[in-house]
Amino acid sequence: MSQEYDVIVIGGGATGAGTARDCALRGLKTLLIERYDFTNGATGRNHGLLHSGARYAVNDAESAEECIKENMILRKIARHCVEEHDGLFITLPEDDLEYQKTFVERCQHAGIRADIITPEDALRREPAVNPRLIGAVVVPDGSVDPFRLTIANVLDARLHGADVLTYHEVTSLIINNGRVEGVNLRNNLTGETSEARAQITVNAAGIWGTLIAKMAGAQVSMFPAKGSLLIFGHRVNNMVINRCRKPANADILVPGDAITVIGTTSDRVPIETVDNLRVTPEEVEVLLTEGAQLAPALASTRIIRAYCGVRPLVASDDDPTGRNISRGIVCLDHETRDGMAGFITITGGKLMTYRLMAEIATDMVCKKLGVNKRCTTAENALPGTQPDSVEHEYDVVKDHSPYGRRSAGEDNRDENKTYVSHVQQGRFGNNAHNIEAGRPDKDALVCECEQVTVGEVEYAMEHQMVERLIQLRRRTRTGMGTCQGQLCALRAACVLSHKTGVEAAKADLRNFLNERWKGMQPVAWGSTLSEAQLIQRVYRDVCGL
Amino acid sequence: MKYNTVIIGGGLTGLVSGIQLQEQGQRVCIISFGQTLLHFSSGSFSGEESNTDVQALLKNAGIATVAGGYRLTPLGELRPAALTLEGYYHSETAELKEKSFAIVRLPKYLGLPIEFLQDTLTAQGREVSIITPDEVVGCPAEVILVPACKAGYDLKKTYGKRVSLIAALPPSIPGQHIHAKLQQYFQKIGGTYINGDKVVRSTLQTDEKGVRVQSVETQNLGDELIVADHYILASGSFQSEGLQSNYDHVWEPVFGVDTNAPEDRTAWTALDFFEDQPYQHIGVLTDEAGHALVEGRPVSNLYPAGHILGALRTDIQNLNDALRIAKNL
Amino acid sequence: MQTESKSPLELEQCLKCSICTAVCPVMNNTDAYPGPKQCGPDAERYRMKDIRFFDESALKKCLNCKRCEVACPHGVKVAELIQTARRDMSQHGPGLREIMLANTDIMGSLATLVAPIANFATGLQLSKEVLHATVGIDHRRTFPKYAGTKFETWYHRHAAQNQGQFKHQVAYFHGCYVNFNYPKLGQDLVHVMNAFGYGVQLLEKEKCCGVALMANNMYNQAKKQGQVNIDSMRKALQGGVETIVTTSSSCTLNMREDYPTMLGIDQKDVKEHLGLAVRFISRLLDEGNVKLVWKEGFKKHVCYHTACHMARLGWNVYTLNILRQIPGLELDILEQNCCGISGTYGFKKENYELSQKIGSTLFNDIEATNAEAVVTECETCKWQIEMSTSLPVINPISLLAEALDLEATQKANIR
Repeated sequence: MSQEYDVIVIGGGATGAGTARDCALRGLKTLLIERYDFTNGATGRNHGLLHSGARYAVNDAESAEECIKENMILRKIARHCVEEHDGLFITLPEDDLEYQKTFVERCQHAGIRADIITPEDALRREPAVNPRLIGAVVVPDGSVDPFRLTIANVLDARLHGADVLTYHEVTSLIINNGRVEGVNLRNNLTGETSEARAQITVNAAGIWGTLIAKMAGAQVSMFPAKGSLLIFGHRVNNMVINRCRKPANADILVPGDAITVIGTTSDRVPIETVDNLRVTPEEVEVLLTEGAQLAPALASTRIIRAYCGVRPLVASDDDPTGRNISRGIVCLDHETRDGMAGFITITGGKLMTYRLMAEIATDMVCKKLGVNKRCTTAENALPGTQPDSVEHEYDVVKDHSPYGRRSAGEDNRDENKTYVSHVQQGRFGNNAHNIEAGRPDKDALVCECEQVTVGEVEYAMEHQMVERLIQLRRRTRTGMGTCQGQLCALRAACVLSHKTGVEAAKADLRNFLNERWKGMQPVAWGSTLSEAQLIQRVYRDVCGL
Repeated sequence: MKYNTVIIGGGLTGLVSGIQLQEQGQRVCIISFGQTLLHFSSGSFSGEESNTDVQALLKNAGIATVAGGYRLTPLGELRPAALTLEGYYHSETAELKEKSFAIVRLPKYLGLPIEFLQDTLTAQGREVSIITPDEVVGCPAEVILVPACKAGYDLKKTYGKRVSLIAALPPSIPGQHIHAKLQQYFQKIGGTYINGDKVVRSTLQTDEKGVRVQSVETQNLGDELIVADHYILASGSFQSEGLQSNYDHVWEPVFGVDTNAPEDRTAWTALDFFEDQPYQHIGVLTDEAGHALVEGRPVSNLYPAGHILGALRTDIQNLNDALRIAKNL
Repeated sequence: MQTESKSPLELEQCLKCSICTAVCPVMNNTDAYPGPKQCGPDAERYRMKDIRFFDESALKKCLNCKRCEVACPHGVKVAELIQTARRDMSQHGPGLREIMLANTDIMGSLATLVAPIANFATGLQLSKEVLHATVGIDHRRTFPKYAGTKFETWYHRHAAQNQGQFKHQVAYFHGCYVNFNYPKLGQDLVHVMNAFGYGVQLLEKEKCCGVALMANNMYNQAKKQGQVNIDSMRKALQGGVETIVTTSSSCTLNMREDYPTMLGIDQKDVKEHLGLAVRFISRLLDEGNVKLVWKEGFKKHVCYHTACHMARLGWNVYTLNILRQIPGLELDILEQNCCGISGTYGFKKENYELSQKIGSTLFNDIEATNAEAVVTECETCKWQIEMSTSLPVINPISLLAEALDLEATQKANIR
């Protein structure tokens, strides 16, 4: 770690990672700091909706326009993180069909494609949609994997010379003569302290940004809004399903990878509770009731997990009383606003517009440093995505595979690899080429639900800064299947112990089991309760944990 | 189809009570839906103390066990065991007797946490090496551990006493073996084992004498009425669907036996994974004589046994119950 | 609201307990098959996302023995998930070999015309080598012999005219094996049913049940044939037969369970009246409505093999009920293991060795009994066990025919 940077970015969510990438791409000496693991905040706890912006078209045209532009950009630069399957906005008999007209008009006004289709058509395209629907509009919604997206930004930042520190928390800012000169850090794993210095420090810490700003003596009012979501055991729908009405709770159903997510609720919570939130039974009830309105099958689909995150809702800056919430992007220059130089805050916005937020923040940083470089993040593909479409990648892997072509009748032990390699492709894009395979010990499956091999785990350890199960889970989906770690947690812990040592791996295993349980507990009935009992039997009884 | 006793649930409890009854001269039928909790076996039976009757019954079925002592968990710790399968590593005392261990690493097999196992044994001052199957011959270690998977069992067959089995993650071979041997023995002595089938209808009869089970019907046998003098309900806990749950309640699916489940769903679970979990204590209710209670009334010929009474019951508790119920019928 | 959990084929009820994996005969004998859990519920979640996740070469290795379904404690239709994926997502049509092996009616009819030559030819090593090299039928596999006269022909010549005397009538779905290769079993069935006082009718039109066609991805043809069968059965029931009996476990499972799910044939009205003869007879015995006169001094030592599809039906309880009542019969119940042939699967040269490896436990167990014969309801198990062990294989109906004094029994039952 070098001593002096051009810029330090605090926060390893999409915004921080995106800003670090943008800065690094523009040649700035960058340090990205994250207190736990990437996407620990709101980035890792949303639906993963690749917004078309349609949802805001009626009430917030500016956000809508921003969304659709970023949507199109992400499809290009982050192909391997994105699924493009369109979305439906449905009108149910109890909704106002008139709203649909306004909705379509406002969408088009914002540059969002919105096509009205008949309910029959909607049912044909999406058989899981509520058959009671009386109206449907198709928009370019999709889904995005926020873990992959964030990591891709981090990797790109590193590739361009940025330093990255995870498990390092900012304990205070280094301030001299009304100027922020750097940060004091604590390593959350070892307790060691250190410091880092830079000309500009960017506060991209999401909801915790209000605390960081306070360290600089600046008041940035935030209103933590807790949102809970449920994950269903399989992909019930293939298109995003929304309710065509004024945005309300639990009216978005998003398919992603092999699951479906329903969200989200919205409740104000005190800032002190933000790190210890649990999903409540009331929230589960709301999510289920509303979700079943979008797709009736949800009423009888296994729920494998519940989780919650906190939205960083920011006070509109010209109203510090906080009654006015800004939905837009908020970029604060503390030098002019609070007399504290060398410090800016970038906040507000949403996952979809992270790149734009990063651009705005980086523009401000460059202006302050007198660097005259323009933003290229919308043009450069992220690592894992090449300019050519990922579809071709599937064929490319097969043809160039060192394991040869499959022919009928060959008893080829690598046949399993075809399926596994597709899944790895999906996760890593063309970086999947670099995963070691073809040997029994590398091809052995750590996670069977999600097809994660030993080779993939080792790749993530080597190239994606993975040391702990929770990180492994985010990068590779280990433990995110229906068994929630029943078989894979122990296997994965053993592989990780090669890097971290057995003691740490054992403690990590215990934490991971609890982390998985935290999500199962609010929905522990039916098959999920049976699963929990099985997990208890394996780990506490057989293994004696 | 008429029997003296019908047992619902062909796991450890069901099979052992079935064997005991068959040996007592009864005509017994066991109905089992898929496999059982045995398939998460650690290679040992848990419990306070063994029971010579239990051990003898198991021996008759071809399952040789060692009483008392300790088993070795996949993580390398010694835990007390009432009975341990022969062939598995077993210690008389709470401390490892041997000084040198070797662990066989099988290609592509991840079910044994070798790194953890090695670390724990080393921390106890033992010499531990990791070897391949080819290196078993000529290995100087006092104990050679092989995981209880199919390939491990093959090694055990080849090398006999030279290697010791140690339990691993599912799929569990020891459980399969115990189950297969008990099932075979049960059939050999005349028992009827209906596999892959579940009871979908039960008929209770209520008269001035009380409530009793009249008959049951299964999925595969259609409208065939299966009638018995006695019925033993050994269908297990949530894991094997002996108890079922949904968003707001818990129930016993075959006869509707009353349960002690809390009304409030949130009371079924504790927040920390390692805390005692309330749902593990959920079970069906019986009167003092062990008759199942349905809507508060005892069913005179229905006896719940095994994990359906509570998931944390030890194997020995369940086995003792199985024998006791059988002997009283 | 979440009162019950339902997903296609109970996909989500899978708790990953891996019991299916532990009992899968293929997985236990080769590294090349990912196993039922992975090919079934695991992969299905991904196949729902994109058809690209369908891995044909892996799924082709599934025997469809359905032992995974028998073992699953949560009712996940593991085998059906795999077979449905193959049916819906496979891009490959059948090759010449598949067409030859699976079109039992055509092959059977042709071969019967020239049975002695056909038998001679398929018995020749040279022709086996040719088949091995050209279409990929393994040269080590013995072919079942073709009878010179079809069962149906025998029935019309020798049995049809005797059936009218019985008050009760049943129809018999004999299947292609009995018809072309082993009419003796059909004859035994007729004799035994007659002895119990039941006349036996043949269906107006009977086609191969289609299990081999389905295994080789020829679903359309299977559906056509299946429809013919069900229509014939319906007609027979309307014409006054009490029930339709069969002697083959695979045909029975296929027609009862897979016709509606895999072929979309509606047979709800017929299903309840279609079942193995052993079930029918077992019930007769239990009801006490039939008299049995056994042959004097009948003694035989047999072992009973539960065919995989019989285990899936769950009806071996009926067979065992009957066998246990035969005086003089020493019965060993074999541990349930797959014989490995799985119909046409074991004929293919790429599967032959695996087939034999899978069956080896069973073969060893059989030899160890020192019994005189193996009893089982499945004809392909019969081919496999007769080829791979020293014992002959007979259907329980044939065993019953051997043990009963048929004439005396019939006299005792006709009033």
